[in-house]
Amino acid sequence: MKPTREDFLLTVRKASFRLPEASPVRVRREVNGETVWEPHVTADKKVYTRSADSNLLLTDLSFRDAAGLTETTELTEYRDFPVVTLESRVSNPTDADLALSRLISFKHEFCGDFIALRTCGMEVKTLPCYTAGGALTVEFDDHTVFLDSPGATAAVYPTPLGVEVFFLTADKSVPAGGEVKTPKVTVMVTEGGKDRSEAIFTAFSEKHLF
Amino acid sequence: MKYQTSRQDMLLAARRLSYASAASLPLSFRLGDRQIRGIPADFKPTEYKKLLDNSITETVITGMNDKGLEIRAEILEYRDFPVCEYTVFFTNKGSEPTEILSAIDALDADFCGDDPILHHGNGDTCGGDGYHFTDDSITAEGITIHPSGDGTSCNGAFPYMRVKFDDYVLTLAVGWTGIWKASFVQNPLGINVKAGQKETNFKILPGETMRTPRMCLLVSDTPDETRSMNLWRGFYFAHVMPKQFGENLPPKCCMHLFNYKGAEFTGGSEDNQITALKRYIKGGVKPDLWWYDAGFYPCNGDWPAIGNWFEDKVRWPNNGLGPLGEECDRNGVDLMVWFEPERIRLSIKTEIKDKHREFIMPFKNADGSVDWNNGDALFYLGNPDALEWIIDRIDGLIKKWHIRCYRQDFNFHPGRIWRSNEEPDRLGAIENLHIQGYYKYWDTLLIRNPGLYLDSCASGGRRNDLETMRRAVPFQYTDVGLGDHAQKQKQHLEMFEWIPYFRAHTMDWAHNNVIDEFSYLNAITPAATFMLTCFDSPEDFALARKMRPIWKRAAEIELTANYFPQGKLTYNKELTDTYCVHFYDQDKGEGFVLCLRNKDCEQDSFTAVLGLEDDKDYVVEDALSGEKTEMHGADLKDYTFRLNKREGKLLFFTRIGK
Repeated sequence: MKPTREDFLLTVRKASFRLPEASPVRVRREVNGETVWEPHVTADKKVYTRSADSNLLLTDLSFRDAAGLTETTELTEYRDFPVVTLESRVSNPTDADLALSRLISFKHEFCGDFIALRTCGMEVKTLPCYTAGGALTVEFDDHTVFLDSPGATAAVYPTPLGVEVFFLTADKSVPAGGEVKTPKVTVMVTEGGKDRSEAIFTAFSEKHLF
Repeated sequence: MKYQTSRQDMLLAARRLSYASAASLPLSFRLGDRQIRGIPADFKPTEYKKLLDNSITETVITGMNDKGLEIRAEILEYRDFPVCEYTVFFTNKGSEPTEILSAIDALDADFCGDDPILHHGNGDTCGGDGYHFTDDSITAEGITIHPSGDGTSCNGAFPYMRVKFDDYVLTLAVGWTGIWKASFVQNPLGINVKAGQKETNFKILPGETMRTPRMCLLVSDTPDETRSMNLWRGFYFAHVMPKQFGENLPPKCCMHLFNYKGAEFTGGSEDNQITALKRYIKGGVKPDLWWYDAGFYPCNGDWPAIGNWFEDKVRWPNNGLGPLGEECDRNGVDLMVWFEPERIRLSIKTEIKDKHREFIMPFKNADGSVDWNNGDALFYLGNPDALEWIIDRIDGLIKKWHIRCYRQDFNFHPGRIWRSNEEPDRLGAIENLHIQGYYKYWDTLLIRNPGLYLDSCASGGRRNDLETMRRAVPFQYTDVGLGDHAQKQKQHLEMFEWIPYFRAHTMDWAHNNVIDEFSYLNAITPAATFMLTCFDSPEDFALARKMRPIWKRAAEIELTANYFPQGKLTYNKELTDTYCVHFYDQDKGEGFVLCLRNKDCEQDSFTAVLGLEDDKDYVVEDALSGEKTEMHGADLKDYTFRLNKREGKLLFFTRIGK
């Protein structure tokens, strides 16, 4: 099964994370008694995009706040499949451990008329849904979003225009001088239903993963 | 027979191309008075390794000295081909200019081996002597090659070459769209190879980044050059050729209405272009791509008069080329439009000269004076404001006009402009920044326009280095000999070997420009322009309809198959040679052999050596007559053609069963 032009255009519309403002990674921590979500709008942002070969477009998005907390997201966009992957690192260059109240490795709204969510062999038609499994197939009336993040727990909430997908990690602190790495998140958007989505992801896996 | 990566190739790559560490990175340069190799310890290098997918490992090595000079090397090691490629970036993160960096060789490495012979070419010289390859023994005296210095990367030297040793072959491609150089010197155990930007003697200003050319090296573990060539072709198709919606660019039949009511496309209008396109479609020859070359802008019929990147409203009154783009879209045809954004004509009034003179870099005389009213100047892509302006302007036109293929030409010599504007302590810096801007310009257009593909042209094929070919295909790989069969055939042999996506025209200048089957067979290339005009006869259209599926079937095979060259064609303008090429894709069980006896060739037979499988049976199909026979592979080790003068034959092979 091969992806089509429409699959790529859909992915560009629904899973574009190359701009810093569109980063799906969120860190929540307490600073001076207040809850702060990072990367904050005031963070120092850097974007570096490059081609590896003619298949892979790599983008590093990095944010550094005034206290030195650095969050770097490595984004890989495939040119032969409508697939995007993200991996993030949260670094703490300071001398003290950094407490996190939550690390969300992915938070993104997918718009569309929701039909069903499939995860862990179950079909779910009513949201919200929480699952320990990292693989989700979100079926809309005319397209399907496949997401996978081994090792992360997932939550899917309804929104007025579709669904919002969260992948959360268990990390609660970043050691002084160290970093935590979030599980890799893979996103694929295709036209049609789950069977086509599965077939294209199988083809992607055979070419790029195995 | 199938050429593919072997275990021995990968082991050889691990031995010869192990560059992914600070100490083994084959970079050398001078920093002030200090000679540096790799990234030394005082830069405190750190390595970050990542599997990008199952076939590429990326290693990023970053180090910074105490004055804020950062060196960053991005190294890719492939696991499906015996290839290592890398680029090095120098960034000044300090607050003062750096010391002078000079003699920067991105590649400075030794390769052990006996009897080294360098196979190298002169690229597209814009003359009849171009695309000529020679073999030279590498001695202690050494060989240094570089393009002409006009500022293009393929004029006078071709940035793809290989060194044949007695037991392996090394292939080197230099990705730099400016002036590069490579040297090969024999040493006691083999050779030393150096390559990089030719002129480097510059300080780096605070906040500035300079980069090296991309170095790409492939090794193959036998002295068989055909095998090495096919590994390169396989690598090219897998990792170099631009993708369009998930696939390598397919064969493209390119049609146009050329020189109508003005030179080139300066007489092109909404009405005549759409009418011509419809005539082709009605005649059953629907193009894959509608070619609109130089001339959509106001220029009074003088296409080189550029600097206005907007439409001539007399010829294009309704949203510029938008109606043509919409018509193309409706018919499933890709609209290509020509641009030449890096050149500005100074002798005329243009938008860029009048309103954005700060974006222009003219030639500077020795006394510092500038003539703003004559000649051509550079639109300097090293200026971030200029870069942003041109990106926004062209991106806007691509979207507004439904452009699916962006064609970029480059008809002048920036080398003298770069040099005249560089101070002695910035030699090579302006070239470097301009070329970085050129890559960013193209990358941004590609990112902003999913599915867009680019065509690289520079008075033909003067800028088809690896970095350009990662982003574009060379539809017009030369301006020379488009209808001269002897020249074309020689060029095609080199293109199939190194840059295997290109285009040819169905013309024969030596035969009253008659477009017959023989002319078509001379354009069996991955892309083709049928020189059928929309005014031609029903018989001409019938011939095009007959030849199109033959061309397409062969072109598709060319884009996946192994290539088996059939001897070397001697360069000869007298057309006294036979031209023969053979392709076979063992995975698909499909191939073809094409043999052309040129008009003055006295040899009435030619035996092609084929690469089919001995133990398989094949349907052998004569493409022109449609006649089919079944033959056993063992009986097809070779095939003898008997042809009349100016006659050709194309045989398809289809394996029976698996």
